Amino acid sequence: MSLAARQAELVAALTAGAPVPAGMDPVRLGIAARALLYKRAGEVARRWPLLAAGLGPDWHRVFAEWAGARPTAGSLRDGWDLARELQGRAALPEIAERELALVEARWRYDGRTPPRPRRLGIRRVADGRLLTISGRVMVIGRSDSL
Amino acid sequence: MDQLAATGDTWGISGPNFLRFYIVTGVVVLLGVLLFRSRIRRGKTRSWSDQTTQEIAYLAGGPRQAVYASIGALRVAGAIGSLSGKRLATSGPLPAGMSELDQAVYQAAWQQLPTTGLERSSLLSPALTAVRRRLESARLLLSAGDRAAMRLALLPLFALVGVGVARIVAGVQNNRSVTYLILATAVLALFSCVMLARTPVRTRAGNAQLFTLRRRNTHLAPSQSPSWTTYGAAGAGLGVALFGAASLWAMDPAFAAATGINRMATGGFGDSGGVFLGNYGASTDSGSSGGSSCSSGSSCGGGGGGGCGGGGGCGG
Amino acid sequence: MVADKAGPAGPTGLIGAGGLPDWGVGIGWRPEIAGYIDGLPGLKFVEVVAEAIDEHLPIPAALKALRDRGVAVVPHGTRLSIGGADPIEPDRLRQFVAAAHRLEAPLASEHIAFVRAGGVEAGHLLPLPRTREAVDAVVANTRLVQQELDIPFALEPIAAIFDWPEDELTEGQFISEILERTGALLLLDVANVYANAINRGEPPSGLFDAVPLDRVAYVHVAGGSMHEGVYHDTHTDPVPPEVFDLVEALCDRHRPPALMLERDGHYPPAGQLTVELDGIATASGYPPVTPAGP
Repeated sequence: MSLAARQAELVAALTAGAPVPAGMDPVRLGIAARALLYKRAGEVARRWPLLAAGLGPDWHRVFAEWAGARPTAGSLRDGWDLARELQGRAALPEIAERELALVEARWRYDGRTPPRPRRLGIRRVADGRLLTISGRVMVIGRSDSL
Repeated sequence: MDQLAATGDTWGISGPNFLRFYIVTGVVVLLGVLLFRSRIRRGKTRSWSDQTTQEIAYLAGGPRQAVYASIGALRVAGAIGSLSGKRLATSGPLPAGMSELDQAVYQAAWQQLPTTGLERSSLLSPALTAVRRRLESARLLLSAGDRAAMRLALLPLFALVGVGVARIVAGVQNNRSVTYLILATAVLALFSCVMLARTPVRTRAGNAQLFTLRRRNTHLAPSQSPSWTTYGAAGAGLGVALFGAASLWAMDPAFAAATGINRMATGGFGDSGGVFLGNYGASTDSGSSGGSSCSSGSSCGGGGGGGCGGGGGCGG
Repeated sequence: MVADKAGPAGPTGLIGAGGLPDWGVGIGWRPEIAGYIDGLPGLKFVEVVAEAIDEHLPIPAALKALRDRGVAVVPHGTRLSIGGADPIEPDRLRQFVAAAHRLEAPLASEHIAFVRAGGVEAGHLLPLPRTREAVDAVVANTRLVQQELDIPFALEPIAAIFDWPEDELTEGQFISEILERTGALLLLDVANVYANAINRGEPPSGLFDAVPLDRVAYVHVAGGSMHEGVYHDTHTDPVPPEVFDLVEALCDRHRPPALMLERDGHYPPAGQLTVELDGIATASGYPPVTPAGP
């Protein structure tokens, strides 16, 4: 088998839950995959600090469950996809709601292609509105604790 | 009225003459007011060397920011935590060498007071008043008297606006064209109102000091995601002092949320200091633009961290 | 203890591998600790993650200030995927070279690893099978970089948690052959050497005898920790004493022109960073770069 095919097999096994490539140590690959998820969770937490903080001690577990069979699309999109999924099943912590709202106000994201800056828009948040004008987000209303 | 109508000129002065007189007077008075206010605002330009973190915070964002700076320093020192109802609590001993305000905030945490309105608490007011007095006597912050004088200086301008309005009314009753006068009066009124609304809190010297301090300490800006463990309690206090509540949120989001730290606070001054939205308003990273190499990589942390943060195996 | 450790490359101040000066002790520049690094008076070089230099943004002010005071800045790539079976993506290569130019770098580096395959990002540096085919891939991609880069280029062997069944070369043979065929310099990560030795059950200093130490451009020193019976090169833990011992063993054989501390998160208090920087100075015999010194 070619180097390219073997490398693709390995990446799929580590990031997408594909079978362990022939001849490789499944125990060590499992450890590597978990280390990789831990590191990814740290990167997403840096990009989505309130999402990680809102989940607190559950962060690494929730992220690993969600990301276990999903290769990364970059920490911005990883956190975004996870936040939307949690929101969909009403499991998004309150402070993460605000973080998601701010990011949604700043960028347009279809969930499949890279996000693009939002030129103009207005979004409701719990206690105010986020106004986006040519990429800058302003808060109107009494968003006292945003 | 009749004799004025007979000559055709409102108040016996021709329209163009009045307009010339009005504009010239307006410009002269406006310049005078600007000069007067500017002299009050100048402040002292000599270097301000022995500034404390609390003074810097108060200068940057008023009493609330000074309290936030103390909260930041105490939090990084492990001295305070949070309780339900946005209340503070002590979680460790008060570190040595903390300022008077730090000690007062620690005391407030010991009494489990909420952060909301803490800057108005009697526990903190002696320390906050002392900070304000020092800033005023150093001519970095304008005193209440200075600010009142700056507002009073606007009286001649408003009087002139009043004259303009009276002339417009009279002119309209006299069937005269008042278009240009309306324009001139509106411009003058606009200037007056803007100046009234934007009476500054800092002297120019204060602004310059703040600018220098922020530039000298860019490594503490939230956009750099500073390592507060590395910079310690003093660095954390200075970070919040210079860059506001956003620093507290970046430092410890769960704590900031639990204690109800106002993310948008630019301070109790209410001056228009620009809203900092943490990671969300400023620079973009992964996937911000199509075709960027960051769009699918995972090492493009905001502002440029490392390729292997977060622990759990780096390999490089 | 100091002067005799400098091998053929010469003592401090003379020219070492690849015509580069002896820089002594350095540190990986990260924005999170920029204020600490700014306060290191004796610093002569830092390394910066190449991908952190955004071509659309100005160079971070603190990094520019360092460069302006004469500190050399070395871009360190993490996403070129030099060991990938496919050629390096032209856009990534262009950005890497642009970062080196903007930093006026005297040297640049990358890993002997791959980070993506089959269109999927691994999000991590992955080890290559030590085969002739993999050597060919690394050599081809290294030459692509060297064609665009007008400064010396160093390659860093990584820490591997697992090995490939098709390995035909030893680690020493694998690295040496790549260096020989490309003329590239070696970025030796002592923590990786330690991690691989622990995880393969081999003596750590064995690799020092198997690679050309006179080609070492600089050395990484980092911390790690044990999880599930495996040593992880985390860059977020303190540097273990064994790694400092290994630095000393390396310098006894042939002292490299530069060594640096690599931290990537969970940054410790300033005092701990100082202890680790001074530890590198002590182990290598180079002058300390911290204000107080050991």
